[in-house]
Amino acid sequence: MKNRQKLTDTEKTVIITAVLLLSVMAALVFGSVQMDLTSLIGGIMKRDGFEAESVILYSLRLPRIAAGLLAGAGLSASGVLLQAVTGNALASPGIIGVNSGAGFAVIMLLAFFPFATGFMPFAAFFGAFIATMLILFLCSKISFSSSSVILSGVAVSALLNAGISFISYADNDILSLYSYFSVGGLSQIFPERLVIPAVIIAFCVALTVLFAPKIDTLCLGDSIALSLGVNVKLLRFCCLVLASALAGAVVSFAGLLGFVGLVVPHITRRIFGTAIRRLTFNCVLVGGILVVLSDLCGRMLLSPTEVPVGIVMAFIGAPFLFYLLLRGKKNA
Amino acid sequence: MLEIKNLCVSSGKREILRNINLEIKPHTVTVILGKNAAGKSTLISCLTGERKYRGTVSFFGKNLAMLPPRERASLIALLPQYLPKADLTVEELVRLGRTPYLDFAGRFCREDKLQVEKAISQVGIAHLKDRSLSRISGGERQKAYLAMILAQNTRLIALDEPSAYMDPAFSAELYTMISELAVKKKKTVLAVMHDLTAAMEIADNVIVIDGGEVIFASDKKTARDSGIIEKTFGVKRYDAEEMTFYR
Repeated sequence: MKNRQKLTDTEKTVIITAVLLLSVMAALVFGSVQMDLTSLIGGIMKRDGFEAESVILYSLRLPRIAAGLLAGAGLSASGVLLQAVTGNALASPGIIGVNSGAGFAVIMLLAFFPFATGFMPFAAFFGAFIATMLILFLCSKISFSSSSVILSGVAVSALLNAGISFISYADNDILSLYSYFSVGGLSQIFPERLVIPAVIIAFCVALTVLFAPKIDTLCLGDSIALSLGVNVKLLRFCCLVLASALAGAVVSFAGLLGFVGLVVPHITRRIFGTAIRRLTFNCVLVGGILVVLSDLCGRMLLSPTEVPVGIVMAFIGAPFLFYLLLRGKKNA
Repeated sequence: MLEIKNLCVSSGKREILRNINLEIKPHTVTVILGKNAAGKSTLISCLTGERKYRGTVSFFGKNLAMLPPRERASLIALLPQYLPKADLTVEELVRLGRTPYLDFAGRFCREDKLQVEKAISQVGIAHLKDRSLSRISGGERQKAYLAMILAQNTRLIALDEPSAYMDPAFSAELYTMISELAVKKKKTVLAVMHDLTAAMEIADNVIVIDGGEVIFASDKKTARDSGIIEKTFGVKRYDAEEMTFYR
């Protein structure tokens, strides 16, 4: 019998990094204008005769890839944190009301300041934070248990979604403007709008990696985590703030991109186990791969028409959610 | 020495523990006995700061309520009644026992690795270290958690029904290990137990709690001679050679 040895975590990470680089290469080469290797290198190096390729790469594809990598990293890390804090495998940025908060803020902006669409990302970011603060306020009045966080999130989401529906029905113009944002897409990315979210995502991922050994104890329950010297309430609070900052930063440029925060941590956990430090680091890579490839699929499927990445993610994420629910039932 | 003075714990209007005063000597095994809902686990949970209480609990002169969580965790380890089947390997679980000692960046130093290896071999689960907690038996999981609190390397170890998931062979092994912790490793052990025979076998001191109050606290011999166990639990005592059985 052939002796098959298991790959080490480092080897797995190297493979995933290679896949990420290939995904980035594919996203650079393929699209409505196909490029061969010479055009790609010429365009990147801004050589004479490759001006058109240069414009496509620097104005369209590279910012889009950067946005995809950031969105994958931010939402995946946010999902890791939320699933660890709530102890619920189905927790994701949408669950704690981040998406609803961002969406509500955007629709309010469109309703009352229709000329200020440029502020949409900032409104999304602000809304996500306000929603999280509201959930934290509710939890502080009840408890910081995992079920309280989930239930408070569901309640806040329901309230904000009702607000979104109310305003949308009142004005059809807003509804059409809001529809693209609510699906989530990377087609309207401006590099300068990625700077602040990139800094926030990098900072929050670094803090998550730093706090990882303490976050690991949460899976043992509050009682054991406390006996291991972890200030459980404070840690849970910090993790929620980090998770909302990560998701809010992504929503500010990619809209309400769903399922990444749910799907990526699950896939990565199967490969690398549950230790938060290793999981977060690799989720950043896997999340990048998933969003960049989904966006590429969206660009290629009905080319030259684009399908927003949020729709592609929903086609991947919804069956995955069914799978998780079925597996949960089987295990139960 | 662990000193508990005027300890009271309430849940709403109900008093769970009333005016508890205890002194637990170092390097001894003290068992806490009592019927269900007597307040035994609540007493243990006060030590780790999980429960709010009135009164003072001090360990070697340090008021536990005033200690930062990390410092308290370096003094007292807890093995609770419910042990979750976390999605971790045995080794990953035992490593978590070193959480109170990790630096700001959460780095594992040589001493941490040594303590983890020592704890795993002490409990005899080296062969299980790469196995997932969800794929080992209840008794093995209990041992893995025991290794975790041994890796925590504290002076006081609190055990809440440590043999709950173990078969008789595993239990016997565990009781020997508990006795050795006090004698050889100079630990102070506080264990909530339901198995009266085993409790009287390993205990140096016995505490009996009933209805939230301490009704007896003394050494094992006095506990045996006073008949407090028979009276509290409605059992009979059988003496055979050097063993005492309660049924």
